[in-house]
Amino acid sequence: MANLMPKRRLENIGLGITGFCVALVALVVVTLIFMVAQQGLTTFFVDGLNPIDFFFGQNWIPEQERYGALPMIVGSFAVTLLSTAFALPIAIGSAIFVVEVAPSFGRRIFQPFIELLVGIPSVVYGVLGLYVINSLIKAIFGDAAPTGAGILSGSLVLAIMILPTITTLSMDALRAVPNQYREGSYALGCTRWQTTWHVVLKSALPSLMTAVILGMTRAFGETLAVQMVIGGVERSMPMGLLDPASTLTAALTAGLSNAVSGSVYYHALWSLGLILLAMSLIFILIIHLIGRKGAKANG
Amino acid sequence: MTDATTPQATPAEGSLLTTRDVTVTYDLTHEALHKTSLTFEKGQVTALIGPSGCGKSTFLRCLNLMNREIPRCSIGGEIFYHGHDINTPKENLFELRKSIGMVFQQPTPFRKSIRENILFAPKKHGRVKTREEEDELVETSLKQAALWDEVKDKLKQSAHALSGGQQQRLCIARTLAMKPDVVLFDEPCSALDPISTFAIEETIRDIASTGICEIIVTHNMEQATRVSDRTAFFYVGDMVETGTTQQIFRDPHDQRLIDYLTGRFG
Repeated sequence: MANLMPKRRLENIGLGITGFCVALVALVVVTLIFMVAQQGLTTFFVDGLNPIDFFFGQNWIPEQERYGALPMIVGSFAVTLLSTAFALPIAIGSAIFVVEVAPSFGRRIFQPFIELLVGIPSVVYGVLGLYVINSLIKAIFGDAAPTGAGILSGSLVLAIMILPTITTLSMDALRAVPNQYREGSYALGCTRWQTTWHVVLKSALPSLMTAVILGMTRAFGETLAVQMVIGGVERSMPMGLLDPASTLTAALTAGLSNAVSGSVYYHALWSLGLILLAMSLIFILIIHLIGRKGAKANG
Repeated sequence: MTDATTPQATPAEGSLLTTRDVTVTYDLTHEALHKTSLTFEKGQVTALIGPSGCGKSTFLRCLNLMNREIPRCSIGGEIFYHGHDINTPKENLFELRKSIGMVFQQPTPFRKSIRENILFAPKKHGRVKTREEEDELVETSLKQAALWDEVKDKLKQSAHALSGGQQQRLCIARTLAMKPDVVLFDEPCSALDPISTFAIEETIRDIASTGICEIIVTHNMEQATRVSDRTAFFYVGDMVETGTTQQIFRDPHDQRLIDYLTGRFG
């Protein structure tokens, strides 16, 4: 018994340390949600801003005490959906090529190449977007896009940024499809293309959807690069893809330096943060739902 | 090939499937199978037996040219199917595999419903057009694989919800739906429980009685005696001895086969 004591104490210490780590993480998450929610909701409960005016108001003009967040909400969703629409076909296409058609090229050359893209800081994408994409848009559309800044430019920059994320995850998804499925399909006289399209993609669908959602999460949360190319106009609703606009993240960053702590403007910015937090929770929830459904279908 | 029972090297007239000196090489240097010549007839079940790594699966995977899917794997020799050599670069693999089906070790139902698993290939190849044809094909295929009674009320459910044995019989049904005249089995029961194994063996016998030629790789010698008419014994890349199953197990000639049967290795 005496021999066991030190060992047991050691185990308790281990339990204590790991348990503490878990508690700390949980505490951070709970505190974060609590704080953002508290500050974000102050806008409505203390400052008396009508939530309907906030979520559906079409003008964000702090000098006039007008806090309509719809332009940014629309901007965020527009660039997220558009950039995903641009990036998805290219990502899936290249994933199919490197996994199904040329695996050794994929592993040796394409994978490191695409991983390089993931590591580039977003400000670089922003500069690139500002000087290349905006100028390009300006050149193509002329007077319709006097500065070239707008939702379309933002979406294009974001598409390039999320492309590596979606591509790498799609490649993983396709690689995870057991080879037996492919052989099973070949054994029935199906061609490579029929096999890829109807068997491999179908089996990988839940993982591919997760890849897409993760790409969207990144697009939705990206700040700097978008801010640099989208034009930063929160005052009014964007009326087209070439109109300068703003996103929740961009407006939040731009506003922080001007907002006096404790003012309505300050709280309204927290409310934007709350929307962002809620959206990322929803994205994660969707990923979990897909995962569970996928597990059931494969069970 | 020292034995007197070495099979004839010329394709027997009218044989469904005959191989002559089939050799398989991986990575240009590693010879996994050496000059194998065998003949397979309609309605006959042939078992390929031997210890692990003896080349029996490699040989099986030549018969529908599945080895062509493996990079740096080359097949030498001739494989006569309905009298013409299919081991040529010009052979249409996809056409060929419509009539030479294959069932694998692990059941591989697609991520689709039971019904769609059966109909996947026939639809892709334009074999079924109307709903009635589809229903009929699903029913006959599942009945042939002795699965119909168990799944007829849940054809729309995911095939992944079935048990391992049922999944394997679904794979057999899926193969039969293409109306093949040869079916290759690569250790079809090694992942299954005894009851499912028994059901699959029954199915294999039933299919043979419809005139389909079947070739089954197995490491289970009892299974070979239960299902097969003829047996071929492989050892380290050589087809050592072949004959009727009865002869192979009751009166083996080659010493390596005798050692294998008496459990000295394997």
